[in-house]
Amino acid sequence: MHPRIFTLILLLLALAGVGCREGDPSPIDDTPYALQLPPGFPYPDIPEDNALTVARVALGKRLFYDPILSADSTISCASCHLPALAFADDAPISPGVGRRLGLRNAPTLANVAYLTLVNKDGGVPKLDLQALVPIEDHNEMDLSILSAALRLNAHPDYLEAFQRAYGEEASPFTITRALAAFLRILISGDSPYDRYEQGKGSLSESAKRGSALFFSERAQCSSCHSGFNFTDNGFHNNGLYDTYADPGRMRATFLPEDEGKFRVPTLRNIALTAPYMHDGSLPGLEAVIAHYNSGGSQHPNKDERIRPLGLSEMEKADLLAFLQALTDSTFIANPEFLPE
Amino acid sequence: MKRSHFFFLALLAVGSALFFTACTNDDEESPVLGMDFEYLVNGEAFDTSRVYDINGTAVKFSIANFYVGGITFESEEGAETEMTDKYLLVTPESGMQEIGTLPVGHQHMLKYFIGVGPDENGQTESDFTNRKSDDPLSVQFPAMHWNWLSGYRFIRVDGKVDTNGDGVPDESMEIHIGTNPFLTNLEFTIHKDVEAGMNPLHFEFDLAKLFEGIDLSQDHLTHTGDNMGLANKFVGNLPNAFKYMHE
Ligand code: HEC
Ligand code: HEC
Repeated sequence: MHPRIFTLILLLLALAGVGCREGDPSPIDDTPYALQLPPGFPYPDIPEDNALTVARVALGKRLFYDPILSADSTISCASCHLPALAFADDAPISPGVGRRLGLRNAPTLANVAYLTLVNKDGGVPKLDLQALVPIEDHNEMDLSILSAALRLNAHPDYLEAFQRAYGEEASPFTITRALAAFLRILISGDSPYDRYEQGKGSLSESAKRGSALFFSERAQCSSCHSGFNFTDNGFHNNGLYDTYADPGRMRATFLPEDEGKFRVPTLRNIALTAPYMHDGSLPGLEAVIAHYNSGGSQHPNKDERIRPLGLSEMEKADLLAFLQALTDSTFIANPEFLPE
Repeated sequence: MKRSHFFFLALLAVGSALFFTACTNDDEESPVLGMDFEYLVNGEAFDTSRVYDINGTAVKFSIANFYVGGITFESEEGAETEMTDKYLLVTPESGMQEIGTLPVGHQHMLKYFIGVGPDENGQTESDFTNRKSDDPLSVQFPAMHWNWLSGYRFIRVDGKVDTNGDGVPDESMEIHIGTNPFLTNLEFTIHKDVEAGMNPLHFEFDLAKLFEGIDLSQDHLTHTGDNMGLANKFVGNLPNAFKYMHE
C-alpha cells in the first residue's frame, strides 16, 4: 500500500477512535448456545441484541437462583418458580419480600421462549423486559433494577461474568437480557403423550380416550389449548367468575370487553403446577375438569365454547389421565436448568 | 481523476464523516434553545418540605416529574421545525435543559406534549433498559417506567394528603399517568426572536392548577387504569398548569 495512504488510514482510525469510543472492549465469549428442541417445536424468535450464548445462559441461570435480586436478599426467582414444579409454585399466591402477597398465581416458565405477550394480561410485550416486573414489584423482590446493578457490580466475579456475556457491566439491560437468555432454554416437550405421538412409548387406554375427548368438537379444549404448546396465545374468559377481582386483559387494554380474559396457559406439566387459574383458586385438576363440565359463570365476556359438557365420570377420569400424561420428567430433572 | 487521488479523497470524506458523526458536533454559530420550568403551588415557590392548601386539603409533595417531547417550533409563516427525538425529563431540580438549535429568526409558536410518543412508549424495539444511562427515557430513579404494563409514566406526582381534616398530610398521594391515550399536546404563542447564543424559554408550572375540580382528601390515587376518573380530570387540567413567560 502507498505509505502516504497507510499513514492517512492510521490517522483516520485514530480520529474515529478518539471521536466515539472510550476504553477497550473486553473479550466477549460468544460461543453460541445450542438450543435442544423436541420434534414439532419451531425455533423461537430470539432478538438480535440477545443472541443465545453459553455465557449469557450461565449468567442468567446464576441470577435466577440468586436472592441478591431482592431487597432483603431473601427471595430469588426460584422462590416462586420451583424447578421441581416445572418452575411454578404450589401456593395460590407466592409470598415475596416481607411475606407480602401479590395478585396472581406463579405460572410455569416452561416454553416461555414462545410467548408473544408476557404475563397473564399480556401487559409486557417481550420476554426480554419481563424480569423487571418481579425484581421491582413491591410484592415480589422489591428492588430497583438500578440498585440491583450496583449490587452485582460490587461482586468481581459477577462483573466478570457480565463482561464475558455482554462486554458490559451489570445494568438494567444486561440483567434483564441474561435472565431472558436462561428462560429461553427452559424448553419442555418430552412427556409420555409426546413419546406416544412419536411412536416411542405407550399411553394408558384411559389417557388415549382423554386425548380424543380433549381434541374433540364436543369438549373443544384444544381450540384454545392448541398447538405444540397447548395454547393459542390468545386471551379468553373461561367463565371462572361472575365478577372478577382481577380484571385480566382489561388491566392492560382498559377495554370492558377484555374483562376477565387471561392468556391461555400451556398445559404442559399441568399435573405439577397446582393450584390452577390466574389466582390459584382451583386446587386440583379434578376441580378444573368440574369447572369446565359445569359450563362456568354467566359473565358477559365468557367465551361461547365454555358451556355445560355433560361428561360422565369415566370421561372426567379419562381427561384427567390425559392431562397427567403431559408431565415431562426429563424437563424437571435437567441439570442444565438446575443450580450448580 | 487519477485512481489514487480518488481513493485519497474518498478516504478523506469517509474519515471526516466518521469524525463528525462520532462526536455530536453542533454548528457553534447556531443559536441554542433551552427550556426550564419553574415549579409553583398556588403561585408560591415549590418546596417538598412545605404543606400547601389545595382546594381546602393539606397536601405535601415528594415527587413531581414529567416527560416533555415532540418539541416543535412554528414560524409566522407556519413552517415547523421539530427537535426530533428530543425528550426532557423535567423535575423540580432539572433547571434549564438544552433542546436543540434553530437558525436566527422569529418563532411564533411552540408546541410540545407531556408524555412519551407511542413509538418510544411501546417498548417493542427500544425500551427503557436498552437506552444509554444519560438518555432521559432510560430507567430512572424515582422510576418513570411501569413494568406490569410496559411503558412510561408520562407524569408522576407523589406526596401525602390529609384525609381526616386535621391538617396533617398522612395518606399517600400517587398520581401516575401513562398510556398513549393520555399523551397531552400543549401549545404556546411565544413570539420569540431567536438570537445567537443561548435562548432560554421559561415556563411556569403550577401544581395547584392540576387539581382543579379534584377533592384530594377523597381522590388521591391513580395509576391511570385503576382510577380513570381521576386520571381524566387530572390530564384535563394539564394545559392550565403551564404558562409561557414572555421576557
Ligand atoms: C413473589 C413470587 C415471584 C417471584 C420472586 C418471581 N416471580 Fe415470576 N411470576 C410470578 C407471578 C405471580 C407471575 C404472573 C404475573 C402475571 O401474569 O401478572 C409471574 C410471571 C412470570 C413470567 C411470565 C410467564 C408468563 O407465562 O407470562 C416470567 C417470564 C417470570 N415470572 C420470570 C421470573 C423471573 C426471571 C424472576 C426473577 C427475576 C421471577 N419471575 C420472580 C411470581 C414470581
Ligand atoms: C375459550 C378458551 C378455552 C377453552 C375452550 C378451554 N380453556 Fe382451559 N383455559 C383457558 C384460559 C383463558 C385459562 C386461564 C384462566 C385463568 O388464568 O384464570 C385456562 C386454564 C386452564 C387450566 C389451568 C391452567 C393453569 O396453569 O392454571 C387447565 C388445566 C385447563 N384450562 C384445561 C382445559 C380443559 C381440559 C379444557 C376442555 C374441557 C379447556 N381448558 C378448555 C381457556 C380455555
